Amino acid sequence: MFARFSNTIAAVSTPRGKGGIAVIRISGEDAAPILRKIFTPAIKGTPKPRCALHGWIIDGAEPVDEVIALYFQSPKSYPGEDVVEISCHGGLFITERILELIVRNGARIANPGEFSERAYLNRRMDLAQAEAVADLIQAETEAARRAAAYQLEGRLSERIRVIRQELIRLGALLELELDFSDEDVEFASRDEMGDLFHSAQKDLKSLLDSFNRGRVCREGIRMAIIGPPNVGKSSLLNALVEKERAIVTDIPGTTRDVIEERLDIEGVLFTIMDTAGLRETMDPIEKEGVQRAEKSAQDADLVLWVLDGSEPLSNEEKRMINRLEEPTVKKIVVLNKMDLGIQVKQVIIQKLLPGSQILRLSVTTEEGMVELIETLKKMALSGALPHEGEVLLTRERHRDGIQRTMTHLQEACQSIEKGMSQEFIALDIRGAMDALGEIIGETTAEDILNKIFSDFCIGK
Amino acid sequence: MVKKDFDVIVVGGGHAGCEAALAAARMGERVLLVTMTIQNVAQMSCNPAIGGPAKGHLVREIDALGGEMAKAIDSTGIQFRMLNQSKGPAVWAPRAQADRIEYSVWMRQVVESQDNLTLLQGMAVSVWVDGDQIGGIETETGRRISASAVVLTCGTFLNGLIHIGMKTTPAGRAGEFPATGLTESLVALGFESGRLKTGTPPRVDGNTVDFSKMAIQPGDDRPRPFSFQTSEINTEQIPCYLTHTNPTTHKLLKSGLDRSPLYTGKIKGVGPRYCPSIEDKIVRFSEKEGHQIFLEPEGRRSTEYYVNGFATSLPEDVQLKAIRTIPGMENVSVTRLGYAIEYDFFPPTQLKSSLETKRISGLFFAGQINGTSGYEEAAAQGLIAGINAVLGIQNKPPFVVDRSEGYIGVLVDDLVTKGTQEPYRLFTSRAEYRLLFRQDNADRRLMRYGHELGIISEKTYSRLQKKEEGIERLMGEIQQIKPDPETINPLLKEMDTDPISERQDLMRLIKRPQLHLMDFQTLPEMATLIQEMGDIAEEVMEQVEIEVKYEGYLRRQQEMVHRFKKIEEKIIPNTLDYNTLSALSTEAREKLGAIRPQSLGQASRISGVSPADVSALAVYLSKMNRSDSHVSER
Repeated sequence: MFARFSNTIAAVSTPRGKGGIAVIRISGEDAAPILRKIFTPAIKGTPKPRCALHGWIIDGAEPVDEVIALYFQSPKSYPGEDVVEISCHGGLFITERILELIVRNGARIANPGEFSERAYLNRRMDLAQAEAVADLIQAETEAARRAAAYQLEGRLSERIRVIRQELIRLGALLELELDFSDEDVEFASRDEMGDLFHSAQKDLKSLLDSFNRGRVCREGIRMAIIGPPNVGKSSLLNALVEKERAIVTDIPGTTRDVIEERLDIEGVLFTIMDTAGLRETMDPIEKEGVQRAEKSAQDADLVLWVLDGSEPLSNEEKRMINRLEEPTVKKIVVLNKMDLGIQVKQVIIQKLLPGSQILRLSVTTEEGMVELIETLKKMALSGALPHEGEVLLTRERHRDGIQRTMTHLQEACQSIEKGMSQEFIALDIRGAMDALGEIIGETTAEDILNKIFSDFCIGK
Repeated sequence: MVKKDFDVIVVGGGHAGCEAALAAARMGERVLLVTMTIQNVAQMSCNPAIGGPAKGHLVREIDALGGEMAKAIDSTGIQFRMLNQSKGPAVWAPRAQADRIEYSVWMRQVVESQDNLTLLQGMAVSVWVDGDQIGGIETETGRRISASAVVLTCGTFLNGLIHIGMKTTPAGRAGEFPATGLTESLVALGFESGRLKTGTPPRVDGNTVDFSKMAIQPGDDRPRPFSFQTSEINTEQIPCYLTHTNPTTHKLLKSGLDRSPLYTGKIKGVGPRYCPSIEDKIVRFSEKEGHQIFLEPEGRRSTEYYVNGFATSLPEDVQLKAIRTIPGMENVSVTRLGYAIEYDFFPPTQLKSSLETKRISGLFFAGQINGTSGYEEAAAQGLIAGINAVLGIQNKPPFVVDRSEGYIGVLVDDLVTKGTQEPYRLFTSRAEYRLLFRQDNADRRLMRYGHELGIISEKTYSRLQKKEEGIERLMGEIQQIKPDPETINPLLKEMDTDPISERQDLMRLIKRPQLHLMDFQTLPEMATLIQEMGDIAEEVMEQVEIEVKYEGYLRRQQEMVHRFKKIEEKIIPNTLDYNTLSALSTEAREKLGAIRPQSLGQASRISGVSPADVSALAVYLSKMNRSDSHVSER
């Protein structure tokens, strides 16, 4: 993270491996001088900002590759400093060779995320936007992409900034009464203050409520397939992902470890975990598998209980279900093997796993599979694609900041109700401003005073 | 070693200079106070008042540390008020009108009668150094005076330039010479200087004012002293008067804007936004039809009044015409014109927290030379600089009040860490731990330091100790005293609060906003306690009551202080090369390199250093401590 030598960084920005072209990016004050040393343009002239240049990368006299070079001048570049982008041929060897040449001429290899870090440090983006870049790169589904893209556009930051501006205004009104009580200015009415707090809280609450959906967009839904051995869990996984992912045999306890597969349903990422069958066992490997299965069930957003519908539930199975039942987690119960006739009674299931949705199907005959997929689609949609321009909270760090802001606003409201004077309310306004500032990476110290000086006629 | 002429030389006899000289002399060093005009020692150049929010707090803190300002105003005040009494105790703020002449005379007497302190009328035109150590000063007459430490408190005198309309006059204050040469001598040593501006309103003859057209503003019925050592104030109080400007006034003022040094760009220095001139107010807030004007008496033996709210640098004819449109001043006779003054200052980021310059050891700056405004801000810095000049000579670590201990800490830290773009004034909102910095507990926060430094007497300090014991005792007792319902319910009813059905201790009872400890003084247990505590009883009850009533808030602030101390303890090595830290923004690298913060906490308060920079710095510091605690970068 801390280089002793160079502040100019370089990296291959396209994925490793063979491709038509690869892009190498250099950023920092030496970007242009390095380019001059290693690049001969086909047509002589100095590189103009944001104009593509055709030419050759040279190592001394040795031509290395024919490339297109682009120069961006500070601050008009992604990281806000001088940047050179070289589009070279996309071989692994050739990209490494050019990168090595760049480093030899005074750059160093960039750390992961360092270009974005610089964009943030150079005030090209705020913190929430920089995080959105990482999310956008990581996005595997449309939902994740949209949530990140809206955040990158600055919509979350904008919402937070608007609330923060209101708080600054309120803070200024309060401070005015404390530091300029002798002045001939109008002070804030308690009612207006209360109204402002409530509307800010409402706004924050709606952001907070979007967190679960936002997290689903960003991270998808983790679904654990849980059940006794040999009820068809692995077959169900294979059927869902439409490939032979898990080994399926008639031998109970075939699946030992947790197998993860990813599936895009209606733009939402499902991470499906196939787990070992739950039973009491002496086999140490299987025992570990059962523990992992239980852990998967605890961590999941959605548990898919698979039971053999053709056999009545054994007492051991009932005990197992009872032990793992977690009332707050969403559940779907799948009664498999409906082609062999259904013996399990719905009432017993409803008693054991209250609030769960029950489906009958047969993985073998594929009967009922459509209904399962439809059910999963509905779940995906209920917490899914952000609609045009919608701002969702996607990160724990943001949720925490907003949660703390709301706590401060509640405390401030209580102070108002108790009839406390301005300085007590101001304590929480400042706390709230700081908490919001952390999300977008802004500090508050002078904001309130500046607001007072610009908005009010003070000074005897 | 050749014996120096003096241990400490203080240049400037204003509010900063007097405190610096007195503190240094009281700490046992031989002090020379050089001032341009002896009869103007501790002059109030602007309004004849001391205190107000944050400023009044400062005066109480100065007093707790052994400074003089509080005693001076207690002795020479002509009107005392406690501001913000409708609000919580943290923002109660003492303010007083001073008798301008008496104040100066009083302070001059204190300075003249102080042992170890020599007063000299003269002008310092340069400082001289011995390597990077201060050598002394040279006066206008060519006399070189040597000293181990020099404190510069030059006010608005450094290349001072007065503006009235298009006319300019070099002056330190109206009718006084400016100080020349000193700025240039400091710049030659490598110091960076800047230019600021401030202004003052006209003064008028009270005999020509029709006060019947104005609203009278009396002082408090029971004046409360500033000093913890003043028991009471009995002098007769003189009122102030309130009137307003009107559209006619504004029209006249506007007609002079084409000859305003402020609006024609003649004034280059930056003025304070919180204290705009009247022309600034009518331009920026043109929708306002009237502005408050306070007439403040200059003193008991003068008929002059200070026209507060009418600061201006407009031409003479405009001033004279405009002021006569104000109700009550139709026939007023202006005794002194308002004016603006530009002066040199030295951006205070060139100082350490001790107020010693980073460049020259033994050289200290205090007051307006650091870009501040206000008598109280100046006095506080003077006191700190005077103390640290002596500690430096005695090879002792500097005395620094931190941001969690008081307004003095906030003031000094703001100056040396953030610098200032305009004349800096303290506000209560600048303090993070405002609820703890009350005027009532300045002694409890700071007096032990004054005592350790030897400028708070044993007698004063033992009174504080008695008070602390009383507080502890009373805090215990009120949890034991549990009046029964029959005795107490009539009182509760009278105070308009719910009756109790079973015995309840006093601590719980006084948490109710309507109830105060004083209400229970007739309970036998309380009466005994009060009698035993004697003259400190009232102060003790006040402290206990505040701590009980606001317990939840105060605890939260204490927790904040705790977190503050943690980050403040993360020390940054002075030799750290910020250019090697690539994870910092360019701006942060520059600012950190220039200011060289002593701790991570101080770094976090530098403007231009973002939270991301601070976390990068924190990561680096912890890496450094982990990897090579024995081979640090020193």
